[in-house]
Amino acid sequence: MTDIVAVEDLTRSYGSTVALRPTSLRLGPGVVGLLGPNGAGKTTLLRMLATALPPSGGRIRVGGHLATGSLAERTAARRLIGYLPQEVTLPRGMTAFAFVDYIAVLKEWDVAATRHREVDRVLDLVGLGDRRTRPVRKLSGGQRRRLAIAQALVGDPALVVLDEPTTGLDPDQRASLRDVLSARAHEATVLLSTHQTEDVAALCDRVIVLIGGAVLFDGSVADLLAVADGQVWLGPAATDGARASWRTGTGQVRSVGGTPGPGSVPAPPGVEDAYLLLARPTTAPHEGARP
Amino acid sequence: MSTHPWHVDDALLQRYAEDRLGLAAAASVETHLTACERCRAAVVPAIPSVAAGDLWERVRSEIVLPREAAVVRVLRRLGLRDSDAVVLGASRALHLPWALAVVGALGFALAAATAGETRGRMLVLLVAPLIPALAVVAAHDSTDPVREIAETTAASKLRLALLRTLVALVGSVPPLLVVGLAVTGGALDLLVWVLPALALTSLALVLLTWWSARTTAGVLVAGWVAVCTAVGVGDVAAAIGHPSTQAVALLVSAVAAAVLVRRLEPGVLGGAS
Repeated sequence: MTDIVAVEDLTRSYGSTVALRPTSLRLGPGVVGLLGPNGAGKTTLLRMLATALPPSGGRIRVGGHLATGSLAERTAARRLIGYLPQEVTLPRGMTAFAFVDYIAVLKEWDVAATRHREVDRVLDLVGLGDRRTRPVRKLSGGQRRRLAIAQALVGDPALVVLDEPTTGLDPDQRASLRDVLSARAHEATVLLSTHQTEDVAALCDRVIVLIGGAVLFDGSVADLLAVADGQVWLGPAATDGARASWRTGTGQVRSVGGTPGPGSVPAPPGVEDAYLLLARPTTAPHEGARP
Repeated sequence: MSTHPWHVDDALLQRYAEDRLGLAAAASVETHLTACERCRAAVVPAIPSVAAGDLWERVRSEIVLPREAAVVRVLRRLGLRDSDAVVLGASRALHLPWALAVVGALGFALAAATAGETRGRMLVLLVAPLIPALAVVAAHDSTDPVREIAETTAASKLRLALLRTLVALVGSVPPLLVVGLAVTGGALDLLVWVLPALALTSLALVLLTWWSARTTAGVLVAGWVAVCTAVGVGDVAAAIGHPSTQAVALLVSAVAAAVLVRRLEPGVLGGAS
């Protein structure tokens, strides 16, 4: 598999706070999901990969170009990157088309006719083809999020970096987005962070769990599920020493980890269960079900 | 089936399709076309696809794209290329950075016009070419809602800053007139600084088509400092408002704009699609 992104000993600190410990990664075509609690360093890593934030140390190569190198190398790398920041405030007065058109110009699409076709293409991809003339202020929250995603897809970038792209999208829109991203992932690296573990299960070829600025897990969804194999239980009460537990709609208590009590039966694990086992290595106080 | 006794010959039809007929002849052909199905069918393939594409693109742009600001429309008529017009249009759509940029340009003119015959004036003179651009960069850095996305694109940040400076300077002329009349009683003191700044910004944009950003900035700053030092602080300040200085600045701006248009023609520099 050809690597599109190569990260070597990447670090980032803010003063004395270490946001990302030395991290090395190689990413080829496919969808890579980045999971982790708030403050784990996900956004820091994504911003560095998108060249929005200079690293404190280490190197990033995108398509063979050293994104952490000279301006010329960084510019060459940027030609291969599409980026959706975690928070984007879109210009309210611009139309959907004009906004993506502006970003396309910044991405060096200089010829109006071809650029406009590309803008139409990405707006259609995210389902905003019929909203192109609408001002941003008249778009709903989900439509604005899709518009922000559309600009990241301009020019079919080899590396698509999306920081929580599914925030604000309804299930139908999330399903459509999965379709778009999985199609793009045939030839590109699509790296996304999310708190929606079902998106990871449905979409990602590979999962990286980042906790405390360090990669705690890096593998396939199947490998991640194996982490929780035999550690998820359904029963009348929470297991003893459960990392997390909650009462489900059926009235039974689902427990992740711990020692099962009487009446507990094993349950098939999900991505969220495995993530909770990694994110909560020891028993910690949490909101759970009351037996 | 057409029942017309005569038909437009191919050569005439071709010239009509390519818009090379006089008004009277074109009107005559059109009158015939409205009644002759055979000639209407013949004229369609004769219309150059490029021309039809351009026409469609213009119609489409009118419908899909918002109307551009007057200053951008003027610059476009002067030869501004489409992609630069989009950047400038977007800059104006980003209301807060745009307002701050114009305020920065106003501040620059006020500082330059009101600085006394002191070291302060020397400082203003030395950094004069940079102040409007710095105001624009600072405004966008601190308030542009899509700054993070824009930063990660391959677009030259210096070129963007200079383009925005150009339009902020042009846009600052009307408020300068008002402020000048209200504050100093005469707008000329303020306006005299706009043309030199415009000339330096235009010159920087042209030089960027040959040199790197670092070389361009270095040469312009060194050149400006050399002029200030050679002429002397008081003399520069006095000379800046002289009609000949303004004429030179206007000439430099115009020549730079013309060269820029030529340099940005397709095929001259190569570049992306």
